[in-house]
Amino acid sequence: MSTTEDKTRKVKLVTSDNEEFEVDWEVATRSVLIKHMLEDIGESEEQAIPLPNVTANVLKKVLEWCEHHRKDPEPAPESSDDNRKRTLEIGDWDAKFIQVDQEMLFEIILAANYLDIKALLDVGCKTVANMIKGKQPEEIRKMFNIVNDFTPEEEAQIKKENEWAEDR
Amino acid sequence: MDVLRALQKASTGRKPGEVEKACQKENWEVGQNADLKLFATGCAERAMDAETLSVLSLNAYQVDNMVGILKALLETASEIQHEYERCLTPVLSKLSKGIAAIPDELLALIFKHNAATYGRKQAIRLSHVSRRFRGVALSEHNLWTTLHSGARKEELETFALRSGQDTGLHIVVRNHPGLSVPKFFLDACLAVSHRWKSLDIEETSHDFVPPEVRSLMWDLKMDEGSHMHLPRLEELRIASIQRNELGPRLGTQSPVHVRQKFAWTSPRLRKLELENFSLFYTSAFASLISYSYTFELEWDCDSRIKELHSFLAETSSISTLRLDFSNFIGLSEDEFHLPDIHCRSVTSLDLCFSEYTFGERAEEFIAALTKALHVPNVQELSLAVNFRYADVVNLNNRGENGTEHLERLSDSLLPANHTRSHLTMLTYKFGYEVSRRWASMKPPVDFTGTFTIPLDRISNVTSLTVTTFTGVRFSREGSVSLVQSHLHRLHFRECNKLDGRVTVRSLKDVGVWEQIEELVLEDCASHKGKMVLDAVEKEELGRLWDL
Repeated sequence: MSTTEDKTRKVKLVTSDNEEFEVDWEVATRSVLIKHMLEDIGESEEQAIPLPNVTANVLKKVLEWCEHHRKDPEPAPESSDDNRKRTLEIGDWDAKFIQVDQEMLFEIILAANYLDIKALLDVGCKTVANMIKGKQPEEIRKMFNIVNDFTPEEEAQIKKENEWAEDR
Repeated sequence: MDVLRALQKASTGRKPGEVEKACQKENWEVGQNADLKLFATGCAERAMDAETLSVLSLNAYQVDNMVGILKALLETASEIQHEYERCLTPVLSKLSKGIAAIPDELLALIFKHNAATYGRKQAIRLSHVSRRFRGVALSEHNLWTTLHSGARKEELETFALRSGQDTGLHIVVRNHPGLSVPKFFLDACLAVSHRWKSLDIEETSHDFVPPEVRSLMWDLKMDEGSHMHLPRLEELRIASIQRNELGPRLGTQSPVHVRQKFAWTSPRLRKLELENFSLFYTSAFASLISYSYTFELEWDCDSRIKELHSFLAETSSISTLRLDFSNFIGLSEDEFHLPDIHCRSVTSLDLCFSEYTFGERAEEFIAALTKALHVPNVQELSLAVNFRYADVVNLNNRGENGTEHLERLSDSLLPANHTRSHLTMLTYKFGYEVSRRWASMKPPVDFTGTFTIPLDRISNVTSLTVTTFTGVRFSREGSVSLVQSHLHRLHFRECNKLDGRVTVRSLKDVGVWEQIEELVLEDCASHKGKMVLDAVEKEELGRLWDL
């Protein structure tokens, strides 16, 4: 539980390219990683939190998301073994926010994973999932610049699978 | 070790400019010696006396020691620095490499999202992209858990194999004309019935031909005579869709309704969804918490309600109840005699009326239903009405004002003197669907009519969300002091006919405007984007709405 003092507190974050960001405690603690680090260092307001896996331009984007969602409730834990309930719906604001180039999109996903911001990670993963919806393997390869590295034996197996997979 | 602790402390709590300050010689005690400055520059005219020599030598010795310590520390720090670089550089270098930089567990997460929404074929396609994609897809059992009656035998075998030994399975049965359920599918499913996590049966029956759900259930060993044990089954959906040769069933034809009694044990069954299909209550439903019942209205709708009544009367664990009634044009002319339904366990109620027609019969049916339905502990209530497009257009064309119809509808939806002391969240959702027949013509609809929300009947509601194509106003019977409203949050979403002046004035008239803490206007035609009271303030809103 956050206290009133926490809400007025500022947090310093230092990126891998040595840029310093000062943000509200409520914004920074959308990241579970930062929240735990702040709990570890206690009350020291001077101490900056190093984020060696995040560059300044990515952190800027991530903080923009955290600022918008600063008052969102904590996400409910979800069952790990069932993916049927997942939907690919993304809120209007999030959809606009994530309209970035592919490189930035994957950097946001990596940063959200590293910083442990589940809701942002979901937005990123859903966006990629939406990008590949209904696409054939060749189209997916083209989209993400992926090399078809199957061995001839694997190709034969895939061809066999295609015989029953794509006709209905 | 003190020096090491001081250095570590300095490195974590460094203040801006602190290092620069420390680098100035004047700030060092050993750098402040006046004789040092004098003799080091060669400006001293006198010879160095013994005392000066002694002090300078002592300082020089101290400086030598400091340099020694710093050199040693620098050497170790540089070594540690290099170790950190060696450790972090490969990780950091992965940034900016697109999907190749995404670790397998995140790729699997993307695949799960993708397959969950776009069906089982997605898993196969993903496994055909590259060796890495295939490796990730094949190791993710959850991508292969849907056994579909439309699949070929090879697909079923592959999915069963790749889903692992113990993952819950989703059984999807589709029995449509030209797509019957093959025996190998039933056999494959029965072999793993202990792993069923959900069962979804949907079938289409033509005209007055009875559906085959009964025989399907028999094939799946879920009939009355078989005592099947389904230890993991959590969700069950059975939908019987009625069609005739021209498409969906016409409103005046009676649907073929099926009621079955099944016997199986399912201690984890939580969610039940039925469409044009009724079930007798058995112990299989003892742990239900969510029940959704959809049916098309017909001349004999009293019987359907009685079936619903008998089912709900037996259950005491349902907290989420959804009732969806459609095809109001098919209502009989007889009076409705609906038995009282008491659902004390329900905390969330969703009432949906589809293909609603303006008229007394529809209003009387809703009034009879809402009066019969007793949910004293309901906390969240959703009231959705989907009007027939033709009705909306016709009312508009006749130049009639819809307000009177909407007032009667409002009265039917929330009958007076119903105890809902726990109701805190209410949602109204009104819309109309343009059917295929009308889609090509698309006559413009300029509906005039205002829906009235009776605050005295929902006095404990703190949060109200409204989506409608009508105007909105608030009313309150009785004096303000007698019926205190607790409304604090108002959210208008897609209310394109919202007249802010009328709405706010009615809120002022019933004495509630001052207590509204949060007002959100989202996607309302006359207001761009999302307007939140916090941002615009009440006075500014008043100015915008010319209050």
